[in-house]
Amino acid sequence: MQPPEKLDAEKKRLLQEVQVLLSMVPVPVVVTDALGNILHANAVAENVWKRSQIALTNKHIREIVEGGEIEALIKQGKPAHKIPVRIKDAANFLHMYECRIRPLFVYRKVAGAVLQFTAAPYAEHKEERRKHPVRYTFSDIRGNSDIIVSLKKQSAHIAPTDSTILIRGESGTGKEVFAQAIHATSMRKDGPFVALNCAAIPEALLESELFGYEEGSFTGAKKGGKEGRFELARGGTLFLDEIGDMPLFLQAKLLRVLQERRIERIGGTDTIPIDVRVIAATHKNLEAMIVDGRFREDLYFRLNVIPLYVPPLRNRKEDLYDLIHYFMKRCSKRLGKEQKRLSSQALKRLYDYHWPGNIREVENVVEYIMNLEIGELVTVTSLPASLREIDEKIMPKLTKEPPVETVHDNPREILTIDEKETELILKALQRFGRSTEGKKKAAASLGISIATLYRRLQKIRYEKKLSK
Amino acid sequence: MKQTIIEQDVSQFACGAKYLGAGGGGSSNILELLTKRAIREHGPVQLQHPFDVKETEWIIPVGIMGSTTIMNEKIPTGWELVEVLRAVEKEKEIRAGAVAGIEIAGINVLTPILTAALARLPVIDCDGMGRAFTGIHMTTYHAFDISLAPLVMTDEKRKSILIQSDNNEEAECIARNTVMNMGGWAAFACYAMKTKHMRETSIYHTFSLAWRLGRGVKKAHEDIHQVVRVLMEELSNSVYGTPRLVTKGKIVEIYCDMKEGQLSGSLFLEGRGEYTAEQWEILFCNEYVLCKQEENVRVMSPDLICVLDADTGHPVQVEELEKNRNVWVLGIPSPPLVRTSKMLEVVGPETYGSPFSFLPVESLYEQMDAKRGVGHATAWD
Amino acid sequence: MLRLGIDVGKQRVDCIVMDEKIRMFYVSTRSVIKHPLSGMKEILEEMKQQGIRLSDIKQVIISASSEYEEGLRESEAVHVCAIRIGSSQNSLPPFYEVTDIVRETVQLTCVELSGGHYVDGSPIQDLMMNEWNEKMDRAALPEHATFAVTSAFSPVNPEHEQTVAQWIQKKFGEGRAITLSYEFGSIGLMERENAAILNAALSSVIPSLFQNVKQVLRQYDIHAGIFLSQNDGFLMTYERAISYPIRTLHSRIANSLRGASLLAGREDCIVVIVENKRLYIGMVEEGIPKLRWSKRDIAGMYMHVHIPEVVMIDNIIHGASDEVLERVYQATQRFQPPYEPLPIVFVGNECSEIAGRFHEPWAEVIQPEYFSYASAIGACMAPVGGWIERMYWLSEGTGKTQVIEKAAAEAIKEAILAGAEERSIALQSVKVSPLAYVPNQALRIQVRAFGNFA
Repeated sequence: MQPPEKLDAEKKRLLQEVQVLLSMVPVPVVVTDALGNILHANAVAENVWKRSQIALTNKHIREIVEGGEIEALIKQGKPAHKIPVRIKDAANFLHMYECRIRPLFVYRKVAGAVLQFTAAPYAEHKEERRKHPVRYTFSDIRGNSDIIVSLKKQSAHIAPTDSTILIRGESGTGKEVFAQAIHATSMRKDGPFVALNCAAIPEALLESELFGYEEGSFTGAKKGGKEGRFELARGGTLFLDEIGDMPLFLQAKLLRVLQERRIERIGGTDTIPIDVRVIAATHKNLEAMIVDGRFREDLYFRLNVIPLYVPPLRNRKEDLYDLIHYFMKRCSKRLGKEQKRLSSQALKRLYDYHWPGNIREVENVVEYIMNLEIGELVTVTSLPASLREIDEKIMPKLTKEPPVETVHDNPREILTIDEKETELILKALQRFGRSTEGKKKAAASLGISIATLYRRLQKIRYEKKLSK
Repeated sequence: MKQTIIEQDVSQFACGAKYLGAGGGGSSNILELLTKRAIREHGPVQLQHPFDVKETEWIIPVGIMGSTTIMNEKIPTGWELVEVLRAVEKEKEIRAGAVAGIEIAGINVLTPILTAALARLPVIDCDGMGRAFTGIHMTTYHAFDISLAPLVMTDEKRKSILIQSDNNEEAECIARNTVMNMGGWAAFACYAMKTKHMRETSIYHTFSLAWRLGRGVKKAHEDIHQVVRVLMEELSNSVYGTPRLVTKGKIVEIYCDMKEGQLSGSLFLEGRGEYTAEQWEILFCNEYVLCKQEENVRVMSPDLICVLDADTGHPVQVEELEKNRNVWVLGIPSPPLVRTSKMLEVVGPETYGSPFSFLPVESLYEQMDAKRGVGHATAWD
Repeated sequence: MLRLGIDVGKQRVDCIVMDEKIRMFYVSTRSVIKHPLSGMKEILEEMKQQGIRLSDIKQVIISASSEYEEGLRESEAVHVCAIRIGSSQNSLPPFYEVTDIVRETVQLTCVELSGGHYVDGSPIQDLMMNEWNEKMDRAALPEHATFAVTSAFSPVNPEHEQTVAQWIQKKFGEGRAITLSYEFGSIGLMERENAAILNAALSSVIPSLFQNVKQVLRQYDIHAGIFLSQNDGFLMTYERAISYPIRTLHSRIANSLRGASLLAGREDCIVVIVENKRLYIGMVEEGIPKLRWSKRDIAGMYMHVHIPEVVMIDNIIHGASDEVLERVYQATQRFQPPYEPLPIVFVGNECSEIAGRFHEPWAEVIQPEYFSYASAIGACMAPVGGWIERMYWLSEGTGKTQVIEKAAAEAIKEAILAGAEERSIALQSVKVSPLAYVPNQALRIQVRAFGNFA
């Protein structure tokens, strides 16, 4: 082989080697020439800067990294490490990183540099967010019914504004989930999300929770005082749940705070400016409360800038199936049990039910079913009483598979605890068998000790004897 | 929820259903055109929620089986589907109140809609597989004891065959052998059942999901990042669950064998970008069945292994595999009904010759994350 | 001995002249303002002024694409009789989704005949002469109608199409243009049928289009064989091309790819063509453009055409922006093999800006001299050739080797018909693949053969 070809082959091999090695490095790496023009960038770098290599190689280091005098260091051929810099990505967002530079020399002249970046060990905003993280986003609001889809769209639309939102809806419909999702989509998403449930806190403490207090303002006050929720939510969102439960005198105070955008701590003299976006929620009928004089009309108007109505579950029954299976999946994972199938009758009951507790009630019902139904097919008898009440007279028809028989066909509407217990025990024995081993398994699945099982069985036999 | 299917919706159903195919399902432009024409000439089709159907109705699932390649040459008219529907009705002395899906992926998302348009019946928003499977006994209907027979098959010349059997597997076997003798493809109707059984054994909302996927993907205009976002969003908000982005890489080798018309083999993928140097193998048998990184299985059928063309976001079907193609691989959890032990007896790893027992993609990844000490809040982007 | 290459693009005409040592002699370009013909005339005039002996030109190679659609629109009476031979009646008719413009331009009469074959080549049922007579009498076709015949599984067994072709000649005379779909190879009845119909429509338009070209050449005293570029870059005599116009519709891309490879001196490379505010990224393997069966939508008709595999990026209004660069890069990655990267060659008259900003770190980037003439050069340097694609059903007596031999022989015949010198013909490629979801006995075989000018 001629020398030039050999060199060429060697160069090609080295180039491939560099490419592969760079791609294996798990942090962003960039190679520049002596002037700072980008020559190479690895895949992680592409992800961080949100640009492909081809776009990066047309840039100068100063266009994509701010601070740290990087350009000068490159030109001078000076090594350095732990230089704080800001990486500017394709959307012009800045990210905090630390940079390490290793210069390259050819024939004693600066030929370029290799820059390696590692994530900065701290980040201001991240600290804040870690204290008050948001758990939910719009993806957590499940359902494809027209009504929930349009509500999600509407909420996403108003999220980026700073306007106050009043969320209405029955309890258990997920008002806080909406509030969190809106926060996560708003311009304040890097700030805290602070919630306060007005119904959960005793009236006497509500004021100090909301506005904070100064040291010495009452007996038991903390040294140094305490920040109220308004202050904690600075730069973010304050969620006032169950606003309908706020006492009138506090409503007045809240109104003034919303108007002036300033608070006064209890026992304090200074007014503190606030920087929050307020989202309030209630299941109560505020309009009726206004008429009764239990809610201030002026506060209502200040809160009701953007009203959102979260529909009750019965208005979006199409979503029931998805919700049931979602909770069942979670529950099955938690309990280590297989997911269950629902019989047509059971499904019909679930479907016809009016769900006063909405989504929270679905979660509870699913947990009940998963715990109680031993077989793979959930029949009506395994539903909680509230669902069985609908029409107890219709017995569950047999599917092709024989259902687990209930020994007590109780025509009464509600079984007593004893009767239910008996039913469960007998079902379990039927499933696992009456041998000693079977009884062990039955006890385990019922969550009771063997001794307890034996005691209960004795009781049942005794009662049977009596009833004969 | 989607309630009415109009002509413009048809391409979206066809598009979305391809993503649920796990590499199979077939594709046919003709079927799409026939369905559009049927709706244009006979009116829109009602898509019914399983609970909006009367208790007393009979429901008959329909589809087309066999080689789509042959079907694209020896083309259907659409009326074959109505023919088989009527034949089952006659055999059981019933009238169908609605049509349902058997296999939501590929061409069989359209066959029930086409049948419904021509027969002026509604389609129930449900199917029996939640994805594509090779045999018509690989359904939740069969797993939960619905009889496959009476099964009627017909070709484009309206030559039909009726199969009666108490044993679903036997009936499927007869059907499979008959298809080639019928010229390569056949329309079929089977699993006639009453509303109650449909409610208990079918996977709900799969048609609506296919439509939503198709609608979102079309808006993405072949930008794979956007396509994956659509898949993540729509599938998370469904009975399937959140997909997992498994890897991104280049296909470096394909081994493919054709046995009795079944495409089986494996492809080797090398990770690219942040997945560099990862070695992946995906085994397939008409559909992708196992996805493993060296010795570790990451996704296994019946969970859906979805391979996307990195340049267009289109799903790559097994017959379209090509060396050098850059692809992204997603693992989509299968619907809960498909993961039950009864269904796993029919479609689980044993049935495709794998020694492993089924583990859902979520837990396979949990194990991996636990080892790595990584928490995965968002597994993508 | 000179060879003249004329490359007709959407906005310009390029001409190059090469001598027998395949050296480029002369290049010129004109913008197309009114008609490509006037551009051509101007260049020929210029060449005459420059003292080039036009009578020395022995081969004229024309590479063109979109003119045909123009030709279709401009012509008046195009009537195609589409005969479909199959077993399903009243399925979708041909031309089902075609645009209104085409529907107005191409009058279509559809005739369905019972017949066709199964995948194994056995007949579904025999053709019936009386059905033929009855339906053709009812059809009442005009004098100038051309024919397109499509039969189910004709790529496996073209008998029915060939029989009907004979019947057409018997009934309507020898001079009718008949397109038989099996010669377009692909599996998929409607797509193949559409290709056959379009071919039949174009074949009534092409002769008049090229009459003008011939006239101009005669004017300048050029008595040369005229060759047209095919979709795969091979050349075909004009006499044959008028029967297969559809094989020449997409030739420019193939020519640009071949030209790029030649100009850059790289047998294996990835090519980026930039012109008319569009980018095409394709690949050349061993000097030959990489082809693929692609589904093309031409005026609403879907058809399968065998053309170079390209990624197209259009609406490049913002020049070489980051976004465009990234899309080009991603497209090249599609073709790059897993390990050693191939060089990337930029051609096309608008490629300079992007080539200048495309600093691929790991592969060679080349913008060769004469980059804007890549298409003309590729056309001029192409060999004459032909290809066939058929489906074969293996059986007891017919094994794999035998069908491959059969296919090869047919391909060689095609190359000769295209104008290649018999003794110089060589097989370029033989591809054998099974058909998805069809038993193993079905094999799809594609053979390409090429040679020198006869």
